[in-house]
Amino acid sequence: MSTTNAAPRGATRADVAQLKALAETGWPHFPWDEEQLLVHQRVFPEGQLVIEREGQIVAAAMALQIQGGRDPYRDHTWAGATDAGWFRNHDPYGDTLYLAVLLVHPDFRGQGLGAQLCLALRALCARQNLRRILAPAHLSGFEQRQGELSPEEYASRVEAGDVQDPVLSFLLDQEFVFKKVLRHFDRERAQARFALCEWPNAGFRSRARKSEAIRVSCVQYRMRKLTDFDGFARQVRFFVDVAADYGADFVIFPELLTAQLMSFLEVNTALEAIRLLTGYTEQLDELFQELAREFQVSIVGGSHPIAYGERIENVASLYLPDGTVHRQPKLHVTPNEARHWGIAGGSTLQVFHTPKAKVGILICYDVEFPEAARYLTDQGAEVIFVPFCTDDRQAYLRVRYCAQARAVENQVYVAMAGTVGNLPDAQNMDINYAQSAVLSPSDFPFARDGILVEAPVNTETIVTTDIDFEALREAIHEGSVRPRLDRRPDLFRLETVFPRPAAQE
Amino acid sequence: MSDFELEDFQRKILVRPLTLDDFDDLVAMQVRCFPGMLPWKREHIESQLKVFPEGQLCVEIDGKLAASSSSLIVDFAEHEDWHDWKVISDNGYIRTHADDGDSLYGIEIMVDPAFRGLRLSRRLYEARKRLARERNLRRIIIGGRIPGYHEHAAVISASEYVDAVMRKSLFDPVLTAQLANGFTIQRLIPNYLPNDSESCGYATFLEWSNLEYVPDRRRTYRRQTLVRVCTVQYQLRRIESFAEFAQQVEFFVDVAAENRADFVVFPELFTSQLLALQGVKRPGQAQRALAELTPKYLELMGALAIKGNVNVVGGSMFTVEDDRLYNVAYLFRRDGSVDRQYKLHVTQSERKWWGLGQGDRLEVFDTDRGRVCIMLSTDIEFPELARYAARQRADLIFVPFTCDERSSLIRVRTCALARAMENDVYVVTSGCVGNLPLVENVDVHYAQSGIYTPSDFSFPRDGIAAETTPNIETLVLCDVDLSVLRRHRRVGVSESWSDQREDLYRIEYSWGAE
Repeated sequence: MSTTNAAPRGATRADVAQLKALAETGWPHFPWDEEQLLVHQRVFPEGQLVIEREGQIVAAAMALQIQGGRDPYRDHTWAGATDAGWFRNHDPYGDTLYLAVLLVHPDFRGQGLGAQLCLALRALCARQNLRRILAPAHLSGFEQRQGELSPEEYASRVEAGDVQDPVLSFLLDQEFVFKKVLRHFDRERAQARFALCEWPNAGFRSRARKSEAIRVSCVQYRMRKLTDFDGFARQVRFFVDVAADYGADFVIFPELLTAQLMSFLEVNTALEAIRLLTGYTEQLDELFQELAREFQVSIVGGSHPIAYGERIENVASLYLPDGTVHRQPKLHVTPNEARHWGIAGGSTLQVFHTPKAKVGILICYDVEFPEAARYLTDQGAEVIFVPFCTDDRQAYLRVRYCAQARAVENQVYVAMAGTVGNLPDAQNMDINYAQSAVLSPSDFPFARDGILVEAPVNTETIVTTDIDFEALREAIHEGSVRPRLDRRPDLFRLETVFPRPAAQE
Repeated sequence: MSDFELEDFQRKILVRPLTLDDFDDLVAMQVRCFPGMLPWKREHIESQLKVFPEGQLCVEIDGKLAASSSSLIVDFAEHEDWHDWKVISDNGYIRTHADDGDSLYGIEIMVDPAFRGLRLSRRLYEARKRLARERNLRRIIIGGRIPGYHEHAAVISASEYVDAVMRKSLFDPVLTAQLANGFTIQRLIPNYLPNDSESCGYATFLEWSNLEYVPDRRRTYRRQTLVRVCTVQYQLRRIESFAEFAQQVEFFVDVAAENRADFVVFPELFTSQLLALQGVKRPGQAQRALAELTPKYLELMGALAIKGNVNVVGGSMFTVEDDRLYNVAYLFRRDGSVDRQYKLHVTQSERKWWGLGQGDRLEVFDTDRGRVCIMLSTDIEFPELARYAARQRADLIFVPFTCDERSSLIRVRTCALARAMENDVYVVTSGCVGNLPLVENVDVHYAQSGIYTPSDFSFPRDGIAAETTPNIETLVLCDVDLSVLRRHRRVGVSESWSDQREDLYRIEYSWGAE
C-alpha cells in the first residue's frame, strides 16, 4: 500500500461525482448537487481543493470569497452566506475567504488531511492578501449538553480545552479563533448550533484603492490621399496627440489603417498592393512605439497586413508606453479579403494584461462571432477593442449590433473605431461607412442604452470616454441579471484550441 | 389571249396591324365566328389599340378582313391562376398589359368561316411568335377550347380526349391546329367557360416556348416563402375572471387570424395577469397557485390556435412538475399539436423569490412554416443557444420576454438583433406592458416588441422588419421570407454562419449537437 501523501490540488470536472459522494458524509442537511459543484469550480477554482488517495477523493474544502464589510461576524445563515450552496455570491474583490465546508472521509480521519487543507487555505488567504478566513463549525458535541450549558458556555469550554468537540477543537488547533455562536445558521434545523471561527491573516496589507476608471479614445480616421509615409505619420501623430491631450489611456485606430498608404503606391493589382504594404511593418512599429512612449499612452495601431513568409494576416498591434508590442491577428477573414488580398485567418486569441486593464482585440468581422468574445472574457478581459472597416450601412450595423451584444452578454466594455472617407486610387479598398462608439453592458451603473459615447456618422473625429471597471464588477456580481454567473456550463461549453498565452500576470 | 384572266386567280393576302377602321368588319366577322356571343364594343378595340397596338393583328384577303388575333404581354410570375380569362384580359380592355412582362398572352383568335381551310390562323400564330422573338419574351400562353370533346364525353374523360388528340387518334378543330402550331399542353382547366357546351366547359392551357429567349440577368424570379408573423405587445389589465383573460387573448388571436398570420406570439408570463384571481400573496406560493390554472390555459390556447388557424407561441406559463416550479413556453400549432420549451436560464431573483427550476435542453420545432425555436427572455442573452438553433437550421427564433425597465429591454433587444446577424435567422420578440399595482408579485413592465432580420442588401433597413411603439398595447404584423433567408445563408455578402472557425472553437452541448 502506498503511503505517499498527495498534496491538496484544485478540484476539476472529473472530481464532481466523487465530491458529491464525499459531501454526503459531512453535514447531511446541506446536499450539494453536481451542478453546484461545477459552478464552484467556475466562479472560484482556487477555493475548491481536494486530496486524493489511491485515486479516491478522501478530503475536500469548498470556499468562496465574500466582503467582510463593517461587521464581518454578523449573524448569517448557510443559505445567505453560500447562495444556498451555489457560491454565485463569490466576490473576487471581497476581503474574506469563507470556508463553506471542510470534509474528510470518516475512514481517513486522524491522518492530518484536514490540517493539510487548512494549510493550503491559509496560504491562499495570504497569497490573495485577504483579511481573514471565516468558517462555520457545527457544534455536534453540543447536542448532548443541551439544557446543561448554553452554546456559548459549551464553546468556551472547548476553547479552554475542557471539552473536545470534533469540529471546533480541530479548527482551534488550526489557528482559528472562536468568534460567536450562529443560532440560525441552518434555518431548517433550529436546534443545531454553529460556531463562527476566524483565522485572521496577520500578513494582510491594506490595499489602497486605485482608480478603477480608464480613459479610451476611438479615432474615426479619414482616409485622405497621401504622397508619402511621412504624411501618414503626421496624420496618426495628430490624433495620438489629441487623445493624449484629453488624458486618454488607450487610443484605438481602425482596421486596415495602412490601406491609406495605397494611395501613393504604384501598383496594378490588389494582391500586389497588399504585398507592398507588408513591407511597411517595421516603419509602422517604429512610428507607434515612438508615439506610445512620447505620449505615454497605449495605442491599438489599427490593423495592418503582416507577412509571415508567404502567408499574410490582418494583424492589430497593441503598443504600450514601455515599448511592448502585442499582436492580435484577425481570425475570421471575410470572403472579399481572402479573394482579393489573399489574407489568411490567424489562430491566436489572447487577453493582454496591461498595467491599465486586461484587454482583448477583435478585428471587425471577428466581433460577429460570439465565441471569440466569450473566450476573451472567460480569460478575464475587461474591455474589447474592435478596430473595424466597413463599406456600407448594413455591414456597419452587423458589426455594431454584434459589438453591443458582446458587451451585454459578457458584461464587458467594447470600444470600436472605424474608417471614413474614400480612396478612389486604392486597390480593393471600398467605400467606408463608420460610426465609432464605446459600448457598455445595459444595467443601472451604465450609460443610457449601453452607449457611453458615439461619433457622428462618417465624419472624421475622435470620441473619448471613461470606462469604469468598478461598475463592471458591480454588474457582474450584483447586476439585475448576471450572465457570467448564471450561464449553464452543464448545458453548453465552449471548447477552444487557442494557444494559451505564455506567463502573463 | 387566254380565256381566263390570271388576275382572277390571284389573291392578295396581307398580315397587318389592326386599326380602328377595321372595327365594323371585325364585329361582323365576330358575329359570324361566334354566333350568340356578345361582340367587342368599340371601347374594347380602342383600348386594345391604345395599350398594345403591336399585339392586335389581322389578316386581310383582297382587302377584306379574314382573320384576327388579340394579345397582351403579362408577367408570368405575377399570375397564379391562368384560368380566369376575364381577370387577365381585363374583360377585354387589356389594361393589365405589362410592357416589361415576359409572356405574350393570346386572348382571342378568329378566322371568318368564309376563309377557313386556308390555315390563316397559322399566319397569325407565326406573327405572334415573331413578336415574341422581337420582344425577347419567354413564352406565348393561350387558353384553348376543345369543341370536339362533347362527341366523346360520354365515353372518355377530358384528359383522355386530350391525350387522344395529342396522339392524333382523334381530331379536334381547335386543339389539333394549336398543337400543329407548336403549342404544348400545360394543364387542363375545368369550368373555363361553363356555357361552352361543345367543350363541356373545359379548356386547355397551352404554351409555346421561345427558344431564342435570352434571360435578363437583372430580372430573375426567385422563390418566395412568406411567413406572416404577428407579435403581440400585451397589456396586463386588471381582470376578475379567467373568462376576461380568455377574451383578451382571443381578441389578439382574432386580429392575427383575420390578417392570415402564420404565427402569433405572446409575451413571457403574460399569464401573470391571472395572479389577480388566485389572491395568494406569498411569493413562490402565488406562482404555484397560478400553475394550477395551466390546464385551463392549455385548453384555451390550443382551441384558439385551431379556431384561428394560426400557430400560437403562447407566451409562457408557470407549471409545477415533481413539486418543482418551471417557467414554460408552449407552442400551439394550427394542426392542434402542442410542444413546450422550459426556460433554461433562471435569474437570481426568480430563483430567490420563486424557487424557479430550469430546463435542460433547447428544442427545435418543425412547423408548417419553417423550423422554430423559443427562447424565453434571458435565454436570448446567451449566444450559444441561438448557435445551436442555427446549427439545427432553425428559421425563426421566438423570444417571449418580460422586462421591468429600459436597461433590461435593451439587453433583450440588443441580443435579439445580434442573434439575427450572427446566425442568419429571424428573431421575433414579444413583451408585456402595463402594471398591476394592486396585484402582489407582478413587477413593472417595459417593452418594445419587434421582428428582427439579418442586415444585408436583401433585408429591411437596420435589420428591423417591424417594431412596436414602446409601452403601449399594440401588435405588429409583418411578412418575412424564408427563401431570402436560406439564399442569404448560402450567398450572403459575409457568411457569418459558414465562416465560423471550427478549427479553433466549438460549442459542446449536453444533449449532443447534431
